[in-house]
Amino acid sequence: MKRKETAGAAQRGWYRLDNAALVYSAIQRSDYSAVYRFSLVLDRDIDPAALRRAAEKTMPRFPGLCVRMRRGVFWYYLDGAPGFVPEVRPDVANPCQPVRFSPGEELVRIYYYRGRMSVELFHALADGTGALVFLKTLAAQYLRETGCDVPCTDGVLDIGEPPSPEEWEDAYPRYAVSRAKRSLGGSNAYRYTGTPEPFYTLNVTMGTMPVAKLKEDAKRCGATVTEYLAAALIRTLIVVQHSERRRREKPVALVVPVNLRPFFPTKTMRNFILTVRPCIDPELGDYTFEEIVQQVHHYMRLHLTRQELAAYLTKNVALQRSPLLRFVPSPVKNLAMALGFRFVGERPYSMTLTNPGILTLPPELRAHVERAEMILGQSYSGRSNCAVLSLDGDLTVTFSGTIREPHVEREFFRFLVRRGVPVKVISNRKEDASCPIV
Amino acid sequence: MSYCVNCGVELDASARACPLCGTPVVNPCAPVQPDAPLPFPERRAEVAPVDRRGAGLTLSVMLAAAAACCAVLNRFFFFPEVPWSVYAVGGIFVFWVLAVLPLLWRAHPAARAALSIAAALAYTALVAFLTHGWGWYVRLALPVALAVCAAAAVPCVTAAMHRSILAVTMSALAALTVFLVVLEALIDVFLTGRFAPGWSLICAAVGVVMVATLLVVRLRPRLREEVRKRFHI
Ligand SMILES: [Zn+2]
Repeated sequence: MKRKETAGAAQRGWYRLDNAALVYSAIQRSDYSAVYRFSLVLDRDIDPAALRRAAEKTMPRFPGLCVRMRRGVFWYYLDGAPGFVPEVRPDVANPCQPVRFSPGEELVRIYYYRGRMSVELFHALADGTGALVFLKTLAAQYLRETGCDVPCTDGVLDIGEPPSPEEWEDAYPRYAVSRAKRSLGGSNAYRYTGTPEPFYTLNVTMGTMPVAKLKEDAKRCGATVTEYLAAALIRTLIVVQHSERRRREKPVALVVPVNLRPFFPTKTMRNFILTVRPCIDPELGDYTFEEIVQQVHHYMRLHLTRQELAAYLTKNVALQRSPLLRFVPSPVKNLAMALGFRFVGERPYSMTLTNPGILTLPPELRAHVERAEMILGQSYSGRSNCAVLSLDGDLTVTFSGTIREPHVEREFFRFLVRRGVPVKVISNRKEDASCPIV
Repeated sequence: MSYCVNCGVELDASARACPLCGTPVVNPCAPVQPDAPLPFPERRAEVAPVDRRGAGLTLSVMLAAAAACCAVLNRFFFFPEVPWSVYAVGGIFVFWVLAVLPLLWRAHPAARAALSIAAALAYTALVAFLTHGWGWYVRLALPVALAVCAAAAVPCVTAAMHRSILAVTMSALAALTVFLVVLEALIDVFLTGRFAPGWSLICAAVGVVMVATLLVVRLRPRLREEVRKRFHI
């Protein structure tokens, strides 16, 4: 019954927001950006005309991205805009600009700068998995436009095929069948602060490192690369908090989005994620780095189960379906959600760490790609977010935020260097800005 | 290819300093290439501010329609002899000034505050007029309300001038002292027609002593340092 309804969404020409998208759109405000960016750096400069042609041919294959945000009486919704193609623009220094829900606004954006082609997406449309499929398909088509033949393998969609409704289903309700309902909470976490940058400046600091070296050290500690990086970030935040000499130290907790597709099979490209919260409380005592890795590792193994995730998922969907909430007009609902998020939602977390995983490309495309990058938009409080993306042998860790001092970035990359991982750092920070030498 | 001598991370060929710590790059074997391609573009894009005028206009139209409905219902259907719709329309107007006008017009906060107070006073005047409490309103309520606003404005203005906490506290205390004397005077004049200073003088004495103490602390640097040391938070 539900499946029939979702399958009809594409024909109906509009989409309900899924569970995650509801939150992203309700808490939208002028200085918060639920927009993220994926980039591929090619071995030659981008030809804008070819990229434009590629976008024109690729967009119809992704009807879920050809949409506009509209305000209904009770909920926002995504209104289909067939034939929509985002304008291909030269890149800007402050990426991931917030969306405004104004008419004519693009929720998908395409940029180019030298060899880098970037795709920015509003998070209500798709999650990292869906965005990567779009970027791969676009890049493959771009190479075809410039004369290379790229086959439709390794997740590149065939743009000649008609879009399948299953690719745009809302998979949350289908798996919200658990008897138990759980919600993720937690006490207030440590939040670092600093000098805020003027509106809207996004400081991006990107470190590239070889995966093999990371894996080697992660293996020594008995963990995966994501767990290892999460532990390194927690350790960094513990050190930064310690340097502030507080009387009582707060727990350091990360919010880590989890892709649900390995647990609950679906072909959807829309949001299908939940978050987990690895946490260390420095009040309990000093942890060595190896101990932090072990804590994160065991936390992930213990809690990332199909049953537990289903309970969280059921709780979220039940909230969205509750008749009390449903019949409240959307402005009131959005205000309540925004206030709730400001006072409760972000408090239990110190930072976001997202890792959409290893990007695989068809060999013909891979031969021309030097690097893959991901940038998250400005967080609710302006603190840095952290995004990880790896392509074969290279892994890129990107911090993006609106705080001037790069304390967290510096401590994190210096720590990796000390662990024997060589890091190359690039940044969009202004060099003449008076940056203190530390 | 250069490394930061401080952090040990590899840097971009175009970098003149380490983005993490600011240490300048000095490498005799590989000098900084000022014309090397930058890793990120330099062109900034401005983000358009949120336009709230659309919402403001919609709300204005809705409120105007509601006011018109009230007036029509009052005149032709429900209790035509009682002017209840005047209260409703007045209330709607005050709400419009408080909530909708800021969306349409970006004014200085002080101008907005003055306008809001004026709207509220006008509404209370309307109520007083309709309930035949005009004399009471003009002789007591209006002066007291104005005195409260004036007293509240003094510390706000001081704080807006970025004076110290001490100065703001002093101005607030002084304003409170004057306000209490004025309040008693207004009440006395309304009740008996004659100002007979009583309780307000006690308050004023306490206030003057407190302000004087703070003033001494403010003017004597050594004393100020001592107080700062003893009371630091
Ligand atoms: Zn450095």
